[in-house]
Amino acid sequence: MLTDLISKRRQQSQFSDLIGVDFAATATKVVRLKKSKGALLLTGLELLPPVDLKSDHGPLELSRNMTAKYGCLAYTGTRAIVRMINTSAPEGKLSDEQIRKLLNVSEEYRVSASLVNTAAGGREASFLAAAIPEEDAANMLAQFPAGPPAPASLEVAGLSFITAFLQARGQELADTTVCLLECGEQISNFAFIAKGKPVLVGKLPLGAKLMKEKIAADVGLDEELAASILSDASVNISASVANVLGPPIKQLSISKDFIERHLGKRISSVYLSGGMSLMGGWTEQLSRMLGVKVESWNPLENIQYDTAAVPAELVGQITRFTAAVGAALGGME
Amino acid sequence: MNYPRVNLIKKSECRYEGLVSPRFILVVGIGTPVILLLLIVGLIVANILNTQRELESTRDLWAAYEPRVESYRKDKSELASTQKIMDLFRGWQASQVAWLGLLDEMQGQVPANIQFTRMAVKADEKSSVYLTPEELQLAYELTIDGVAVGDAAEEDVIALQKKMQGGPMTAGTFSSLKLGSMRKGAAGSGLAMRQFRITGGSEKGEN
Repeated sequence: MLTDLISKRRQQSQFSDLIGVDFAATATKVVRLKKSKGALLLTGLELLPPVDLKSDHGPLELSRNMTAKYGCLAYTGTRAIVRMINTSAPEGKLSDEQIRKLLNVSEEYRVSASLVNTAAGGREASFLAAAIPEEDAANMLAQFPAGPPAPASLEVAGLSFITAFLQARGQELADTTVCLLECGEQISNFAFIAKGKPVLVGKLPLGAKLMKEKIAADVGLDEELAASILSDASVNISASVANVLGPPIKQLSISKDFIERHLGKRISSVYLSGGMSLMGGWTEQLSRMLGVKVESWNPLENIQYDTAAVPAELVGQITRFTAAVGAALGGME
Repeated sequence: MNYPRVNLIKKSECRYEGLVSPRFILVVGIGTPVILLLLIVGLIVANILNTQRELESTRDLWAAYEPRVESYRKDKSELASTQKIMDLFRGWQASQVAWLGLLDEMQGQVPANIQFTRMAVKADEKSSVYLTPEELQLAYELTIDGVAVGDAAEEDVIALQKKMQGGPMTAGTFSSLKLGSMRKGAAGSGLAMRQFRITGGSEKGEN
């Protein structure tokens, strides 16, 4: 017990300064956060080239000011699985075998789950479960083979962005039901949050890459130019966008209707984050398709920082660091 | 705020980056006393084994020497007995009076007009068993009855007593020589006569 106490206190002091690393498809996003007297402080932000987890076995080269003792990692790979599990768990725990069975994944996946809610009577419990390929997990950890930063946690980016949102907006939206949508390069993750707790999570086959490919094909341009059109909305590409967005947004809309019926509450807003949220006109289009207010949010809300800590070229792209910020915040908890 | 978080890292994959890890503290905290204990136990065991080896060696040595030691003890005991007997003999020898020399000297001291009618020497103790030389040192009592004839008979008796007191053998043998009695008697020729008794005594160990 004494060892636990010492260990916990030491851990709290050790984890008051750490980095969050998001191994995303387009870049490796690194943030450094410090916790001092209850206040959160961003001390650095860095965008590194993407790491191919299949071929690049590290170590990850970080700049000196981004090297903390510990690092919290986020996995953005398309093979990640996130799901809410409602099952009977009298002890409030699930074994790895149970999680694998419920997520329908093989031994090649590393799995974990955390208890979110227990139904009245304690028979049924809601778990937030995640699975990532063991090989990818090992390769991510291999990016930090020795010395600082030492890996302190490993999360799925499709869940860590929820942590960032709850830190930014959790208190003001404590009594509402909202939908979060983190749109990345290859996939998007959504989460429905009621009273500060996730009630439904999942991923959508929607990403900037798919969008660029579609526009490039429809308009007859290369992908680089398509990306430029997407960001500044200089050409009317609404038909192409709607074509790409249609099926995944319909899936999200069905989920939204299900949650509204299930909880008996309206979804007040959809909160958008991730690189794809920077696409011009995307917020309005999504709002039209879902019939609900859509707004972007900044993962650095409620986090103090000096403007010098954010490189000029990244000032408008903070939303791309949502998963990394969430991972670091989770590590500080 | 409690964040809904799923951490997929394994405990074995977490590394400590501080100066001294809790694991190190735990290992040192438990390992050091255990190692010390093992060292102490090792030393004790080594000591026991060494002592056992020495004991075995000593036993072998003892087995070789024991008959000789027993023989020595027996000889020593016999020697002590012999020594005791010799001491007894020496004590006995020391307690004996050299009667020949004594009587010879007394003969020279006695003038012609004095005649001993009785002479008795008696030892004070009579025992068949003597354990120490001291017990063998006897005290003697001398009794001499005699007559002196002549006009100076009385003076001659007193002179005899003094001579005996001054004689090396008589004075050496008896610490006290006293004129016990003297009375007149009649000699057939009409000469003066004195009947006398001289007594002497010796303390133990004087002889």
